[in-house]
Amino acid sequence: MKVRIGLGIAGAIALALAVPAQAHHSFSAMFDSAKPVRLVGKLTKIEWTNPHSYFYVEVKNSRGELVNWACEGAGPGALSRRGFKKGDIKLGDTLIVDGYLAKSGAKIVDARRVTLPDGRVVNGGTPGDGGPGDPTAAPAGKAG
Amino acid sequence: MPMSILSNAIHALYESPLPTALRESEYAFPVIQTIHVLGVAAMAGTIALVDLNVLGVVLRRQRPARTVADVLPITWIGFALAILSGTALFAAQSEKIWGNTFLQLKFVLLLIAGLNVIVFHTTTRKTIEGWSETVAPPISARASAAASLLLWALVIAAGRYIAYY
Repeated sequence: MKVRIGLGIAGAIALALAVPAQAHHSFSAMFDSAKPVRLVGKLTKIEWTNPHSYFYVEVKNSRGELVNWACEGAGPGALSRRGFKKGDIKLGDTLIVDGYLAKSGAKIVDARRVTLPDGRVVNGGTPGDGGPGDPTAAPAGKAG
Repeated sequence: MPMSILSNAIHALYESPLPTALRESEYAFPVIQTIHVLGVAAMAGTIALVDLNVLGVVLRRQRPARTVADVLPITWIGFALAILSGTALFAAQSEKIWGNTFLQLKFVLLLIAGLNVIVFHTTTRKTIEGWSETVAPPISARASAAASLLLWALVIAAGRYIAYY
């Protein structure tokens, strides 16, 4: 009985300590690392938000229809530290997003690599989420 | 249409200046998350201390009445930090997460855990002063303490799972 209570407390403390990670959910909770995808499309909406940012791009599918995709990236702090600022993109810009499809099949990808309109390639991934090439503030580099 | 009134209110909250600034901030959001953890630790930690004392697991030579008196100020400070930071974090993400199963579960669990606290302070605590140091607390008090430990652990677990659902 006492041991069980002790374990409960230890569990509760462990969970309490784990709360800072709420800034981001893990990669594998939502996305499939076996399903990489490249989206090229016009930026239709920007959500520069915690705990994740979202960029919405309009992409033509195989039937020639325009489909709006949500691209999930790290929060404002992590993106800024990699040299990606909110002002670097505006609606109508063309973005190239290399990411991974959602397990659910929803029109959402994990934006691992974002090619900005000025040619810079930034790591869009959420730090510490355990996804492919899990970045820790990788600096922005030039494409090509 | 109570549902649309609620969703309109959530939308207004989400789009209002302070929650928007917090949502788009580089530093404030993680800082407030940290305050939330510290508040939860202070509150749930001191509550657990009282519960474990009632159950006879810790502070065996100290009566629960004394433990309650000792730690209650810290419990209240933790509660204040947790509720203020939690409200801010909810407001900043409200429109995205108000339909989240684990958020709703957390609110229900908080309500039950809160009722358990009220029961403790309105009934058990009134008799606690008279408890003997050598005889174990009544079974009702021990059941309430065990329920408290379980409920706060579940509140924390549900809160943690909001991000994974």
